[in-house]
Amino acid sequence: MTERGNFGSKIGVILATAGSAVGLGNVWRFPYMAGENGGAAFIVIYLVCILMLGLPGMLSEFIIGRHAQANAARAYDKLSKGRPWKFVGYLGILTSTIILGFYSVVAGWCLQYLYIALTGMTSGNVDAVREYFADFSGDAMKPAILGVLFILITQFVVVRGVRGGIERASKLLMPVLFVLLIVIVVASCMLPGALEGIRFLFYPDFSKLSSDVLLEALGQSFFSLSLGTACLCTYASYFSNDTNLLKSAFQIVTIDTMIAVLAGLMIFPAAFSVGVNPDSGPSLIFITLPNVFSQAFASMPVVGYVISVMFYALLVFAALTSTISMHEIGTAFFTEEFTLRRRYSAWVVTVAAGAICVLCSLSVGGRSWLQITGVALMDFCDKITANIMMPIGAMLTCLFVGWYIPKRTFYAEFTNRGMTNQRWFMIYLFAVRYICPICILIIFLHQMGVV
Amino acid sequence: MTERTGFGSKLGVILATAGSAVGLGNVWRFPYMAGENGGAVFIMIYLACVLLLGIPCMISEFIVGRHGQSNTARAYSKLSGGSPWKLVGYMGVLTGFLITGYYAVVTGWCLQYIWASFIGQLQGTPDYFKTYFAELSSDPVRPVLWTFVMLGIAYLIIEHGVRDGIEKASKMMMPTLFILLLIIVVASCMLPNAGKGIEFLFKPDMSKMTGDVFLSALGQSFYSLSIAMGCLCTYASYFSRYTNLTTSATQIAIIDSVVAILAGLMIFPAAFSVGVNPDSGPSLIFITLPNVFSQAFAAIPIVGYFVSLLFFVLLSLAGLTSLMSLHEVSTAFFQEEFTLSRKKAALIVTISTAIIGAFCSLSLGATDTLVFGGKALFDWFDFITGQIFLPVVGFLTCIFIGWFVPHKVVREEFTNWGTLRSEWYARLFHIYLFLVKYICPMAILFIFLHQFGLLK
Repeated sequence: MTERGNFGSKIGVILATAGSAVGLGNVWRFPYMAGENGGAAFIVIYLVCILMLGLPGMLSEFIIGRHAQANAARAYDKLSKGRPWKFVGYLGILTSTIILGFYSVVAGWCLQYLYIALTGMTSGNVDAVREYFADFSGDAMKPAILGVLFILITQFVVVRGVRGGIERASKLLMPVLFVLLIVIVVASCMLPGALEGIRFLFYPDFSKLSSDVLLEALGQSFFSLSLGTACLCTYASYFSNDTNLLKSAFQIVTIDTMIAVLAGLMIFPAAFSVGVNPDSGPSLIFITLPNVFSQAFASMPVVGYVISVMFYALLVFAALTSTISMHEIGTAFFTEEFTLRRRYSAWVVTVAAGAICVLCSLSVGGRSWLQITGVALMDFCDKITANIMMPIGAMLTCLFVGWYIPKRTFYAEFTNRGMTNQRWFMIYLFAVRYICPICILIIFLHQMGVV
Repeated sequence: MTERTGFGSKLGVILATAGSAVGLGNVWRFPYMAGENGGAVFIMIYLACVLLLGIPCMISEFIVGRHGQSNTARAYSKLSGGSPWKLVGYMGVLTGFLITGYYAVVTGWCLQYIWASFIGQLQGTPDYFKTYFAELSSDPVRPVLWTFVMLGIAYLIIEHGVRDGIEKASKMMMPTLFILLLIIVVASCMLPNAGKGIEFLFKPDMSKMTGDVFLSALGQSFYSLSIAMGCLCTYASYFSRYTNLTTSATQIAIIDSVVAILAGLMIFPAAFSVGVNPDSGPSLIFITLPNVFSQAFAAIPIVGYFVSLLFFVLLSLAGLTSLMSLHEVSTAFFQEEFTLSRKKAALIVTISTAIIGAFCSLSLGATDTLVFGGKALFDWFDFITGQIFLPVVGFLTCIFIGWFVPHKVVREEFTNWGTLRSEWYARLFHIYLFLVKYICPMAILFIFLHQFGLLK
């Protein structure tokens, strides 16, 4: 076997992994959640959840991946002494391929909006935009083609290997994403009445804190870091032996959280300045915001134009860094387990995810043959991965790392064979053994509507 | 002798050296020059000058420094084989040393302005800003203290060494600088009538192109990249064998130019939006702009407050990264030539440049005894280093590399001992050698004569 690729630099490790964590959820989910649920109070709770659940969860996957230096399935297998733990790896690969499929549909929508922003057609009243979005997303051909195109772009990066493809793309995309974000944040905060939006995002309101809010924060800290998809495990297999896992994980969550907060500073000042109520999810970025931007910058059409183009470019980049990581999970698996060439295994993933993408895209238009148990395939894929597969994968990972693998191995990986972080070891062992499984169980029950 | 530590990463090399090149001149000199002299046309000519003069000069200093693996003075003497060429190195160190002193004074003012904007003093009429600056710069105590503070900060960074001090600080300060710049640019471009300022900066006007303008562009491309102060040579001595000198020099020049252009996008839209005519030099940043910012954002005072605070933080960072590299020139010299510990060498430099800085600062109005021949000591330093030493050292360096140093040595450094793609770099090397032999010395000569009004 030829030598495996790896990340060439510390900054590459951080940017690539942060890129996988930073996705559309940072833009359309976190800010609205924070604003609705008590502002600064929610953010504090969220940070606590990140420390309790996100960081240890991330570290568990890092430990498995870096120890094994192999794709997710073999990584679990190597540590499981013949027991069938490798099915957790298989589950992760399946989960990520399904997510890649339906995520690409949304990413394809972003591409389409980037195109219409470039040609200057996003203006119009809110009903026109809503109608446009419904027409476009329900269309049979265009969104499916764009979704598949997005997977092909992803593949184009992934086939170039870990260092020449993923690391290089992340080193380019992440700084650009950050710069775009800053530009839009400043422009948005300069609008008259922007302070209202900043207030909405940050004003601490402790009366809003209920157990429901706590569960929301817990869930967000879980999904934002893409735990349970084997993505972190796969990337960690490209870390070097000197990578400080705890420090890297910490930096990645910091970047992820900062981008989510900045996204709030981008959305709310503009929305409040024109008196539009923000919402969340796809309707926020495809219906509400086009309308907000065209109104807010109505007096300076050039600025409005530039801002919309930048905004959709930002979304495309955020989505791309995430799809790259999900694509890589499957690609690494087929390359190593079936000894295929990287190019062919990437095609396998592309075809599988492309099929899911096309079906999901078609299901959005309300075609009845693509409905499963009464919901469109797209939503079904979303639900089954988020509500069932990811929590199960993450739960089993924590149990595996916390209870099954030798404590020695955990210690050796966590401390880089005794070099650093020794004093945090007991805390993390405790978190991985008890806190994380309980938290994930609670999230799981909450998603199913039991708690 | 213990082994010298170099920069730890490619990114560190680029950011530290770009930090040395990016200084106050990018903010107070380039934008105004571009706007006044034909906008986009000037920028094109400037970029051509960077390509033909700036980058080759940079590479030459890199070659001397990396070959010598030591401070500037010794690096030149290593290549000179005992001939008096080594004096160029000593002159480079002296230039860096003298500039450190008076540059610290200007960056010290930036610190005072951070403080002033922090406590909300920077609000008032245009006249208020004029008197505020006049009072500050002629004050016998405050600017001297701020000079010491600035040098003290530089000392604390330098003392930690190249990798843990300079490189780490640059990796933090340069991205911060860039983000601050971006924030102010966007805020400025969002103002009403910002379009006029952008037009002033970019609108191409061929009629403005005269020989004079061309020489100004040439001069700016020379001064902007901190050539001939020993900085590039000293930093290059910390490069690794694998650092590609040509691409590094190009990347640094690109960063430097981008920052300069962005600085224009920060200044002009705001200035034109309130109808104030921009100017250049210290009066631009210490008198005109505080006034512009306080007027432009009068509708939203909190934004105005933050913009002027961030602006002076930005200037201080730009100044500090340059000051650091200047300080390092002399520190490396004292450390290696007198075999001192790094701490001691840095302390000597800090104290001696602090004394120079104090005298320079005092000469600006606090006392008449430091004014010679109608020129304050501060301006004498500026004149001697800027108008005489820099062109002379730059000129001699090109002659030295182009005509004196064996081409084999230059080629080895240029191509990293033949490891870089051979054909392409062989061709590039010929172009480089031609520029260094003929074009650069001539260009610097023109700049020199132009400054003394001998060329019209």
